Amino acid sequence: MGVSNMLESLSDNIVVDSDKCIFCGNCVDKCILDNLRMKLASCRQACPLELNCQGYVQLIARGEEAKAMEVVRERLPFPGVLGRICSQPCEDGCGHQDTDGEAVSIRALKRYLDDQFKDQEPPRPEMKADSGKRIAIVGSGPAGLIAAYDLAIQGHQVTVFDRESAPGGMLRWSIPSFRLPQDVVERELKLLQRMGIAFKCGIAIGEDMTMDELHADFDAVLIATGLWGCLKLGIDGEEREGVLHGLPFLKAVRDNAAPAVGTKVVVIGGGNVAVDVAQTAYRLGAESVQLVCLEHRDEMPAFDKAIFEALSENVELVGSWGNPRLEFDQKKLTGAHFEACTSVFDGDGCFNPSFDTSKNRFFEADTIIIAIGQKMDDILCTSSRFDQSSLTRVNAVTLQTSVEKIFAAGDFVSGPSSVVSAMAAGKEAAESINRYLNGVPMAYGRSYPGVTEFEVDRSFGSADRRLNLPHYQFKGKGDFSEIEAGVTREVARKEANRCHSCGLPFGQYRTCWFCLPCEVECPTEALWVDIPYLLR
Amino acid sequence: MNTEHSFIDADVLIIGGGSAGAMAAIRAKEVNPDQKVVVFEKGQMKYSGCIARGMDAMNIVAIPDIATAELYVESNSIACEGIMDEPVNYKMAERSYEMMKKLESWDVCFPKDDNGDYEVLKIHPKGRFCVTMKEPELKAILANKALDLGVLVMNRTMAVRLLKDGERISGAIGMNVRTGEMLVCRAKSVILSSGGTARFGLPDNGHLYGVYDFPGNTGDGYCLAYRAGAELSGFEYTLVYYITKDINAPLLYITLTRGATLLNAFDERRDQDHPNPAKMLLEHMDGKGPIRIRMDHLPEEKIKEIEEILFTTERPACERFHAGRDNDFRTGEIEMWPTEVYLCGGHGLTGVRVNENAETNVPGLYAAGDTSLVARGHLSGALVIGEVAAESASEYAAGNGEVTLDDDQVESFKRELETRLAQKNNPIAIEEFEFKVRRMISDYLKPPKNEYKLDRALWWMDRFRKELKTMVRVANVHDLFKCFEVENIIQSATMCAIASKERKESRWSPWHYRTDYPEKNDAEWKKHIVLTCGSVPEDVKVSYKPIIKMEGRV
Repeated sequence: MGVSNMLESLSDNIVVDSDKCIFCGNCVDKCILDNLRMKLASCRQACPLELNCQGYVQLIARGEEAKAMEVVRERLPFPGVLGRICSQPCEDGCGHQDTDGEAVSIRALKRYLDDQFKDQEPPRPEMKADSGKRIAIVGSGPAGLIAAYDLAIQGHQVTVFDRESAPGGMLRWSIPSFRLPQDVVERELKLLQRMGIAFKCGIAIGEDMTMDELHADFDAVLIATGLWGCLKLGIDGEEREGVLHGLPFLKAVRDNAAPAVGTKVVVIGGGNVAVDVAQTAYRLGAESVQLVCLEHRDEMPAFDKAIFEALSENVELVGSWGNPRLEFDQKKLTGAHFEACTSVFDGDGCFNPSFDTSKNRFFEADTIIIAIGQKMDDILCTSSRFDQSSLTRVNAVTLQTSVEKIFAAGDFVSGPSSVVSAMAAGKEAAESINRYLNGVPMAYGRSYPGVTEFEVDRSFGSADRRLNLPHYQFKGKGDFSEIEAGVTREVARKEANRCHSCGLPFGQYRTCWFCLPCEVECPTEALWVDIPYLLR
Repeated sequence: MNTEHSFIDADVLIIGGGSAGAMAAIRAKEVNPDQKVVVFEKGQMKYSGCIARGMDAMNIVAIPDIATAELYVESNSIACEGIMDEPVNYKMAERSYEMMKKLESWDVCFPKDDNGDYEVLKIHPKGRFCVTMKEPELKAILANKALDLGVLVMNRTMAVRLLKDGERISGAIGMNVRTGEMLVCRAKSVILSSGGTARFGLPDNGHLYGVYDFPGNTGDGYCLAYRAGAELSGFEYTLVYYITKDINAPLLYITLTRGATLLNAFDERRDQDHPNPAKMLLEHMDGKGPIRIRMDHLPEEKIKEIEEILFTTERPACERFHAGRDNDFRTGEIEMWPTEVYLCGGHGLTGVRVNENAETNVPGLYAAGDTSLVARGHLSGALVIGEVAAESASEYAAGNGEVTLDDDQVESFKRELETRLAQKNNPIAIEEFEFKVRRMISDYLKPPKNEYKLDRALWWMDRFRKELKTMVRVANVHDLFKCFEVENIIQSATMCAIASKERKESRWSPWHYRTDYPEKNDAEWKKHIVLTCGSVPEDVKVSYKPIIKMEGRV
């Protein structure tokens, strides 16, 4: 890389001890002359929540778990949840992907932190004085919960409405408990309750209350209702006995009202819900479970990790089949005929499967569970002047709808996504709502991305292989125990030590005036301002 | 890049969140808690401006039984060699003690001796006004107070244009220095408190940011006011200070008042006859420098006192600078040297003309701190006039109805932005360009001056104005905002050259010293040289204004 201007030849007078630095960015935030910038580690670049992954991984490596947890909690009050079920874009972004292909187990390390502190009540965050403003959040899933947390910290009175009997959204009512145990969700929800966030469960907006009432009674409203409708195939027999649908199936299981499944189960669908259903079917007594979908394994929208776990539980994955026709012998379901799917996406990349109708296959089944996708259910705006589909269209930056005080976030806006993306959206919406209520321009100066292109020094960090995630092999019917276990301290620290620690703050523009606030604000005394060489 | 802009309303918009701006923000909320007060701050308000951390003194306080406001007016007028408007100085001195007590009530430390008296030093020709302060967190105290009172601070926001509704100010356009986003503020009143042009001449150390005063001060306030039709004055007061060599950090009075000696290069003592920066600079220019401070004869407790103040308040980096040169005050010396040339209302006489209510000649526009011309107002001036500006601005905002924004003015600026952003393939980096601009400023505007040099300065500034568009590369937002800063530096230089040319005498030696007019000429030049904007910014119009005395004084 050649010298681009005379500045590049000047030395950087900011000295950072990367063994003490926790990459928090306080120095960058306070640098008056706009000198300091953060080389943003690739894991952080990938995280939708902008968690300081490098920070907490390095702190674990240094044996400072408490500080590591503080770093996590700066942006995330749910390390137990994400430490278990996050789709881990950070690991996809880890620099190791370019070398040995074995990312640092950042997610497992987050779960490790949760394990270390789960028996202690997490500290209540410092909250601002009561603002007198009231906010209604519709939906207590990931987006709604994190928005509630952030808004309560800003001093606002938050009420979260949910039509189910308990809060949590998909965390509580869909994701199987063998992935995310109920007690973890309940434990993390306790903090929100301690903060005075009000939960009003069993209230469906559109039935028990209307959007008009919320709009009138609250200073701002956040819609975070997710996607609870399930797509139907629209084929004959879909409503008959033996034929179930994914989301209601999973919800019933979480509600202790699991429907009966037979011995030969076929699950239709290639997404996360379908995979969750397949694994759940075994735990309800199925003897064989086949997962039949349009896609090849590589094309399946389900997370790789989930597919891998399902396969290890003997779910048989049969890809490239679709267009099912159900078959019944009088009242009993006997199976379904499928056609070979030759391609899933068309030339424009749109979902438009094509079939070879001459190639058929019959799948025997006494239970078929259809999990082909989610959609909006449309009760939200019933009996109100608002139009639901228009409320799904939001400003890309602020997440404000066309109605001034209504904001929307999560799957309701984006379509089916991931928990971490929903949380990221919830956080953005909370920031917008807080600005809105305080008369601060919503879109202005929202984020200052760090430096994303820089040479990575890979000399730091051990050459150890990636840890083996401890797996619990389920024992059969009725066993809903968590399938992934936590790691020991020794394993965690060893894994954390694999991290190259690639990011760091630096004096990018050589405009230092050595006024020293960066040092004052550094929480770990990791930064030292030398007098610039020209003046020294 | 996003050319959509954000929008905010304000009753009082304060441009620049340094000492004056922070105090103005606090005061605006004190006089009317319900009004909306917005600050545009180019950096980060908690530590921005000349006083990044703290200060070692409040230079002007008329403490009852020690000094009076009248004495201050008399004394400062001598220091300004008569070019000083009395009413605004009187007001500043009159309210200075109250301001000090206010700061004390906020836990700002003014050390007292065993008798309970403050330490008050004599740094002016007459009277003791300089009260020692020992407060390393002064700026943070001010910033937090403003935030607690509900002031809306827009950090990383540089004001680039003022907006007008007819003759009245209607707000300002701000630009985010990190993202390039625009923020348009409609405001009923605006206070300019963005410092002087500290980043002006190139320091001898060669580091663009190694200047004496805050390098973020690039004459933004001067140029905003100028373009909006305000009167500016004192641009011929080309200041050069005399302080610690290379690092450009101050330290004279702290040491002298504790018994340090001053020596020139021939070991001749210079601390006896009332040393001041001007005298030392003259001696240096005569070839007898550098002047050095020696403290090796002082008792340990005095040296410790000095170290404690120097190393904790205004420029704590001094400590590591001296350590880096193996310089222990107990055995070594501190070498002093001229600073770069700069323009400032706090140390000098440069600024936007204001009356005793901090009003400029533009309705709705006020100024305070180094941006305003109070005459050597220092920190006291910034704080007191900041308060006064807030009081006046709040009154004006309450009593003059709504303002309307002119979309054409906003659109016109957007087009300018687009033109600049199209400069991404030009050959010259903005840093290289700035280096050259400031070198020429040093060559031609640093005293001693003469008409030939001043004309050369004007020639170069015209050229640079063009090259800023045709040669300078704008590859990213950082380059972009630097361009605005350098544009203001160039404009300040043009105004400086014109005012210096106009004043055909020497005054405030050695600062406005002209070898072609080496004598002071009170008969013709005991007046203000006023600059206003013509049809375009490069067309600087010159006029005169008389010195304003207190009523009843001649």
